[in-house]
Amino acid sequence: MTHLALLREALATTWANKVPSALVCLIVAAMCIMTISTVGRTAAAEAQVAERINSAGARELVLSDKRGADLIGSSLISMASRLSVTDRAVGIKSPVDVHNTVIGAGGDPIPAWPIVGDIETVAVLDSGRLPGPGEALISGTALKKLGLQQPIGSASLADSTVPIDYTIVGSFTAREPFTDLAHGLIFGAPSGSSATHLHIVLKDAAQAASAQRAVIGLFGELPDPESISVRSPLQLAQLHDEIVGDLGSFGRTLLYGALGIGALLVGIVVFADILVRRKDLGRRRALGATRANIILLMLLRTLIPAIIGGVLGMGVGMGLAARAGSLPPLDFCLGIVVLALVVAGASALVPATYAAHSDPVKVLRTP
Amino acid sequence: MSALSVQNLAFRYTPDGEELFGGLNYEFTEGKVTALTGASGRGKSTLLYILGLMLTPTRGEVVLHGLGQSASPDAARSRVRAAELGFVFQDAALDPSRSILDSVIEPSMYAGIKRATAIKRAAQLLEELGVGARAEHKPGQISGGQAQRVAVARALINNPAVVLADEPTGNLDPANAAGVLDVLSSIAGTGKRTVVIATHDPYVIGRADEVLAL
Repeated sequence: MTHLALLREALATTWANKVPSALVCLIVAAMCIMTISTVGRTAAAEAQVAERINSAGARELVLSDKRGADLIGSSLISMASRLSVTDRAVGIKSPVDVHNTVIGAGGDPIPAWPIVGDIETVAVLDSGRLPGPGEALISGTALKKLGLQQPIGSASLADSTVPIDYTIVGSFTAREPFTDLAHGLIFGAPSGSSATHLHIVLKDAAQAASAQRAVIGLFGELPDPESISVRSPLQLAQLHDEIVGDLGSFGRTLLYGALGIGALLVGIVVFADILVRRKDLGRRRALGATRANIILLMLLRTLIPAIIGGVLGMGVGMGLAARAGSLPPLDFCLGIVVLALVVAGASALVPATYAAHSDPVKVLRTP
Repeated sequence: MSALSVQNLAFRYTPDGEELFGGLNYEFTEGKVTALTGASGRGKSTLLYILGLMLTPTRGEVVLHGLGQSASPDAARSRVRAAELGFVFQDAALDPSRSILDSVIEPSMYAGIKRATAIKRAAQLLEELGVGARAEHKPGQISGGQAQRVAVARALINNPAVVLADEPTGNLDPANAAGVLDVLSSIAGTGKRTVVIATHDPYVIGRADEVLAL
């Protein structure tokens, strides 16, 4: 029997036996709908949690020079930025208050942060140019507070006896996770000065532990270990692993349950169909069908409506999941359909093998 | 040489059951209709299914074109069945959901014959057997006699050397039975085929060229 003849025969018998075909189609569709709209939502939730936990803010490792002992110099910041686990690193000094030079000390003070390292690590330039020595960038919020219409003007240190002015040469938007900077000005710290905080944005929150060890190692032997404080996403990474693990376990249980029930139902339908049509299968054997022909025919007869059910189920399942606001990824949905088809095929295999090995003579001679 | 023969044939349904045929040796004559007859339980249909390679004898051999077939693997016997043997069942056994034409070409599908070739031959056979106008009908739309003629057409679709018929007139009235027997006699005589009919009907036995009493 050729493959084409087998496929044509399977299509014809699928169409001729509408009730079992429709049942297999419905069962597989239900399997896919249930799995995609529940397990898929769990997978989507898992992906969202992972995404949130892995956001820039959650990947930030901050080391602070508690005693102001100039431990965080530009060379250390440069080394930290070159670590394999580092996405970007920057030093930030404690902020100082500034006010609008034109208004003078009567104006509202706003914070200004000296940045040790590349300013573009913490900010995106919206207008103007990057500041040189004695120049600063201003945020949109700070612009209003200083009473400026445009990022043009200057700001003076609020509590300095010697007038120190910073010419505003542009505006910026703070990059994640440096959103605190959106309340004020930023300017380049004087050459050779040290930062009070070393901010390292990691490539992956899961690397927090190894990154922390590596960065602390850059400080070498500290005379006073208490002089450095560390704020690490280590606990967050552990929480991430636990949440993802719990969600994954819950999803797998649901998936196995749905597939198991689906497999049982498909198996029952195919077996019942074989019992009803045992004379038909006996006739085929008498007319020259091999056991392999019978098995393949029954498998195809199950898979054809199963494919239709899988496609329908994926569409409906994705629609339901989208309405609930947690659409699982397309490859996940396709994977579920393939899994449902494999399960349907495997469930049909046992009754199909039984049919192929049934005695055709006994079947034909039974009224 | 006879196309079909049995040598030292015996069969038991269960290991401790009654042995049938007791070492039967018989050569079926080409171009003749042979009736298998005997009292109920003597194994008429059983012998027919052994000849059709659907049952394996406990002892002995079915020989087709000089080759022993009974010990062959199931797949090989199925291929021989599709290519060399034609079956006519008591109740025609047509697929109720398919057209007459589809039913007739079914064995050619198992023999790997092209569909277009099979359809052409099926149309010709149905015409010859007087049911050509019914090709697109469903089995439920034709009479019992017509159904049995369709079953004969199906048995002949692959031009087999042997046609095996199990009580082919059992469900037919005398007129239709006579018609089907005419067809079977004709295909034996004109096609040099071996036709074997399992029957207990004296009329069928009377019409046969040879009788093997079990």
